[in-house]
Amino acid sequence: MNRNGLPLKGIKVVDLTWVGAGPLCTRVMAMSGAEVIRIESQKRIDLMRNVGPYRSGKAGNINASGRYNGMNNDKLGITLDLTSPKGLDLTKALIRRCDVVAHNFAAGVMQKLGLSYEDVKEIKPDVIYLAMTIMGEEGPHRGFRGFGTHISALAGINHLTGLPERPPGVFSFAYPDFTSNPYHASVAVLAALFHRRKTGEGQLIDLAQYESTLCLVGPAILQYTANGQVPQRRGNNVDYAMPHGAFPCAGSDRWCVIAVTCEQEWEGLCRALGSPEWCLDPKFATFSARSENEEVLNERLSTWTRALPPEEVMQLLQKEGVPAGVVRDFQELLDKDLQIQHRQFYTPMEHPEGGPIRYSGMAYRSSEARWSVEQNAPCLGQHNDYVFKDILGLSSAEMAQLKEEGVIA
Amino acid sequence: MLLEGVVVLDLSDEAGAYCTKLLALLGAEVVKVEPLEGDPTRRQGPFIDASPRPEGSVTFFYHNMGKRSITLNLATQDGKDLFLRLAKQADIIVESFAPGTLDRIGLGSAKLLEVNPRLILASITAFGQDGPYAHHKTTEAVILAMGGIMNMVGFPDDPPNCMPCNQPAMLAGMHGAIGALMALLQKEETGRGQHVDISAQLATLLGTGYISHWYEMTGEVVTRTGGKVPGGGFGGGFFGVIPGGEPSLFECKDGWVMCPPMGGERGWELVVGWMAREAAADDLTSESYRKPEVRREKTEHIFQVWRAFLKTKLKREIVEQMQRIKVPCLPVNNAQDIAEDPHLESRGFFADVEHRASGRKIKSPGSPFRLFPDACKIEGPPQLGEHNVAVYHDRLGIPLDEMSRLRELGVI
Repeated sequence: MNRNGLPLKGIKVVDLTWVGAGPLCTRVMAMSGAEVIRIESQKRIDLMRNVGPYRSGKAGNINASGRYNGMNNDKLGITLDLTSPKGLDLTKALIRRCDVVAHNFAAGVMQKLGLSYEDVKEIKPDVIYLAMTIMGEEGPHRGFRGFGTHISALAGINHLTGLPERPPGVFSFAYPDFTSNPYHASVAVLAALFHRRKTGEGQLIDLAQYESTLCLVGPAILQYTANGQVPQRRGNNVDYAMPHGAFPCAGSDRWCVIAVTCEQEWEGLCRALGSPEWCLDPKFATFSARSENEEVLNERLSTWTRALPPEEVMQLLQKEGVPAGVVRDFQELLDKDLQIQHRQFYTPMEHPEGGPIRYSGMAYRSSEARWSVEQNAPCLGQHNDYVFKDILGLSSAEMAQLKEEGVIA
Repeated sequence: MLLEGVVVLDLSDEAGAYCTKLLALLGAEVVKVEPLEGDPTRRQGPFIDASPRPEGSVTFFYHNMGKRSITLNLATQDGKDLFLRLAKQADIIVESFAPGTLDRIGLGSAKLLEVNPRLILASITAFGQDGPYAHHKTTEAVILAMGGIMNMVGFPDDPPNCMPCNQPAMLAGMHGAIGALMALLQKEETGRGQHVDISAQLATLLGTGYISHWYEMTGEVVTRTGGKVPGGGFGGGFFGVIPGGEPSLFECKDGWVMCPPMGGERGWELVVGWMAREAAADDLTSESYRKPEVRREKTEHIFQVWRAFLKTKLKREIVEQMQRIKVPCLPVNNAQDIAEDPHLESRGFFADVEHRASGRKIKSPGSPFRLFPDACKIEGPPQLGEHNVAVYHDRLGIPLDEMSRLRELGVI
């Protein structure tokens, strides 16, 4: 494995994270060349190992979950019982040689384990310590529990999503787990690594997932604090475009987004439609006229889009310089989107237990600061020998003893 | 501060603003290089005090906290020369022009890296610098659609839904900051700069997490499920019967709460106990409901009673009660709930930030993370061209009379 050209080569991470937000953050480091050692335990298996998707016939295999594997490529995996004194000692031995410690346990858990920032700093004074609790370590609601799907509600996103006359908009996935939390955390860790290189000083990064997520809708919060207005959800309406929204296309539940932001684009849209007579109707001649006659306009436009596949709607409109994009589904994203193929975003691999899997890349490219997907996500305890023997120098006898005692388990 | 001494030139509009906001929060000196009429975000409503002026855009305020601003007309030769002098002293340049724009005006990546071989140029665009869609026209909704998120927002019978506050720009901003910082770390090793090419479509796609694996492994195309997460969640199921992953939105007296399907057997006892204390448990206290199979059979009735009860309760009451019994129930907050949340208040999350044009202090969201021993830099946004003298005169050493000449020529 040649990871020499990667930007985080030489950086070592002790990864105590689990579920979604934490592992995606350490995945960024792993794909960028850092050695990331994930500490797991048979006693408390990462919840993601127990939920799908699985390839057919693999359900229930803790090493086969697409959800787990997709978030943990390029990491080393060991099993260690953190609650045993010897397990704690071994963890500390790994921490002494590391640069970053990351966790996303609930507030107070790391303190109980004896691995609070203060504890860790004592044995590794320049550590970069990343904590990703839901509510933060302090505050009256620090004990509140939550999952990503609900943190978006807490942070104001759901209230602002969806149609005005409908309940708050909901997501088929845990938005904050895959956005604000792992990636804000990554930004902070990288800045802390830069700072440490310059000054030798470590850092505590205390990310409260509530705060990190509400930063994604900061302007809406400011609208209230500055003007006293509580912004409401408004469907697919925006101030800067008309027509605007997802238009139904040929096929089942297929849509294309169309956004006309200026008169030039309106003219382009009319050309794309073959300049039908209704386009010249003064009812649609200006932005405000179109807004007033929105319903008729949307109906006319939908009549045109309904007859065409979404891909064709996008191509016809783009050819005339009109912003348009297919409401992509995952079949298209994985198999048909030419841009994603061009970027070589997915790296296909064969996981020894999970079968074929296409690992996601990062959103950036560069001739230099590369990321790469080279290793499958670890099976539970896959790197025990390597980490305990080669890195920590335990003998086979010592390892066997620790296994018997339930420490390496 | 973590990025103290790092100089960032920000040529971007809203597409790159969150990237440089994060760098500014971490202590970098971010200089916005604005056209003479200002960043278009300055003209984007809503406005502070509802008065439309270039210093008053709420979105601009949020995105540009802690930055400096200079004006520069890049269409002029003098403007280009000045920009190259600035680029020589910069560590990072962030831009969000359509691909090829900088090349066309003679300020492409090759030129910039020639002038400053240690420079990091971060380009944030909808689809990246090249490829079949690179020149597509886009808006936030178009990227949200092409990045796979939009198809999974909303209820099954509704069209795909947009999201608030330009999420693709926020996501591309975070990934842009990651890419730029990776390059900065690498530069410390190699001494070489680089051009980092960020795709907002891919930043958006990454926001869908494991859903791609759902399709490739099961063949099922996940769309709008009304809040159901494919494959379900975890835990014993709400009331011990409703399987994980079911929609979990409940209406209450003053809005909505999200109550995930957890709690198991013990949850049942505690929830019914709560309803009984308020004389709202109907027949649910009856012994027969202790059997999971009875509850499974009468799920509809149970939910009827439960929903009717919640409608009499405030969000706050429900959340506190459910959290007490360890069910991770959270409120559907609006902006006011968040701005007045005592938890955030006690953590000191908000900061009173000066809005220079009105002299008001505005309570503003702080940083997405807290640092120790360092701190984040939380300051107000710049007025248009506020730092012209500080940057052109103090930094580049341009005499003041030369600056007046440039001003007259429409360069700054």
